[in-house]
Amino acid sequence: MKWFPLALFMVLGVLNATAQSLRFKPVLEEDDLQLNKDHVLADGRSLTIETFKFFVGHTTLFNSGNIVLHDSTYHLIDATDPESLNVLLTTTEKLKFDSISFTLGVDSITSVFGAFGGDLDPTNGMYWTWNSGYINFKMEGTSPVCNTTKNAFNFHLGGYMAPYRSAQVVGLHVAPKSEVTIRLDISKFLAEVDLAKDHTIMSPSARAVELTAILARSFHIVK
Amino acid sequence: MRSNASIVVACVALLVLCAAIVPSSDPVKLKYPDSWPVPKYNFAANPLTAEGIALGRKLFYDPILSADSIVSCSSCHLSFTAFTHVDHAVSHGVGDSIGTRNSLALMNLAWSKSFMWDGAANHLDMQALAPINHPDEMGESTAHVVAKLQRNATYPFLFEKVFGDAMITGERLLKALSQFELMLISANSKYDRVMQKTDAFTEQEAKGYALFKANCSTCHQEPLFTTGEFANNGLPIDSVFNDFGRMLITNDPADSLKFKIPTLRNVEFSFPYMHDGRFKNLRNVLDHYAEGIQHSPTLAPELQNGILLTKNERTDIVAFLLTLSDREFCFNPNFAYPRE
Repeated sequence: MKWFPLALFMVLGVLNATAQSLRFKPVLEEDDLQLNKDHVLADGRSLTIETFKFFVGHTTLFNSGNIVLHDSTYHLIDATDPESLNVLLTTTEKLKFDSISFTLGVDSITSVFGAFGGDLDPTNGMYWTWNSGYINFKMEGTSPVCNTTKNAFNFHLGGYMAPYRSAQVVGLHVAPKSEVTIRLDISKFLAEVDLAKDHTIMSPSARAVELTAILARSFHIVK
Repeated sequence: MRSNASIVVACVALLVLCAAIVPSSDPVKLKYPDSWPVPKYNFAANPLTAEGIALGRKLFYDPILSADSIVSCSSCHLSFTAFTHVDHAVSHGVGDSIGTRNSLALMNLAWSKSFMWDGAANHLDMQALAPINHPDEMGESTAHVVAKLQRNATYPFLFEKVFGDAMITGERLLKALSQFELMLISANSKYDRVMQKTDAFTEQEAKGYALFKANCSTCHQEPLFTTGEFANNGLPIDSVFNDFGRMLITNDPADSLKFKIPTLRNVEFSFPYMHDGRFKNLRNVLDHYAEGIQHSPTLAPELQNGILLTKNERTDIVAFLLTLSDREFCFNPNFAYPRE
């Protein structure tokens, strides 16, 4: 299988493929997210984010409501790996599109299908071991407002079974460019979370679904 | 249209190329009785091969999966006792830490819809993550196990034989373990021979079978002797463990005190019984169903009045249950520790 990427490259080379890039950019207000660095929010709360990862899947480009490209695979966005922030969709031609959609998280069908490798491999720290299911979004860090051991907060948001299906579809209007930048403003999420009380979620629950929905509303296209 | 055609050509070329570079290995077809239902496991996503099964077997018996290199899968799932840990009410793991549940017997797993007493694992491939990462079982992390295997002198070569290259991943580790576990088919008990008309029940066994069909088979459905569902079978809650079973996974109060309905195949060997191993022998189990049912909102509807059984009838049912023992399964040299 080690020849697979090479083979893919050769075949795509024949087709003169171009790549459509979707660049994810996690930010805190106007600043790019920097891990392990203290950040003071506009409301005065300070926090340090140590882990920031989430799954993006089923990326679809639309033009006037018609699908022009669908990529059914999943990508693990991990703030420690700058390359992972850039999701490349391979196409054979230059595409015209006016909106995009993707799922934040892993859908139910994939969640019950068994073991996968690559970005979905259970060694990536995005799979629960005590209860099957992917962690759709993981953010860990510390804040003095958290009255917890070492002031830690842990948001492990996931769940694929009703009524706690947490994966969310995000839809965004976009002006076509070969590189689209999608900003995820973590401060919008934090504005709706009282870290003093809401600091630890590590299993599927109604709150995990609500928080993932807040995150889904925190994506914006950079104009 | 022309670009569509070139995509098709390219895809075919890619498939041919892939087929050419994946090494040939020996495909294995799962053998089971014709009368059994179709397996639930999706073999297309993890095709059985002789090399894959052998790798899974080596991993199953290798304590490299645990933090202290002492505990292997077989520590709690011993082949000679239908792949469970007998004589321990609840199982123990690294550093002699004690868990909260009685290990389940492993057999006929290709037909299971979910795994573990509370159905925590939704797929056989994903089940092994639980014991590997549990601090009271193997106390490891999957990523660290993968790293240890990659550094090992033998494993990269064995993974290459199965998967085409020597890269070890979580997916490959789990799929190899599944391959061995899928082979653990128990279908040659006296009961099976009677059903195939090559053997006959004694009078007492026949009486027990009739009583079983009338009173037990709704949940312990033939031929696998389970429906794979969860039920509250009226056990008083243990105040030490306070184990609410399936509800811990679904958060649904309707699942309170429900546990996996286990298969009864090889039940002779898989003592003690129940999720916490509270009953030492089969007689205790039947006494519970006849006299010990505790009422609670989620109690199985079939057990609302207990199961009315005389003492003699209980003895007859036990006689039938012993016909579910499959010695060939328990002593199958292909399932035992792989001597090299």
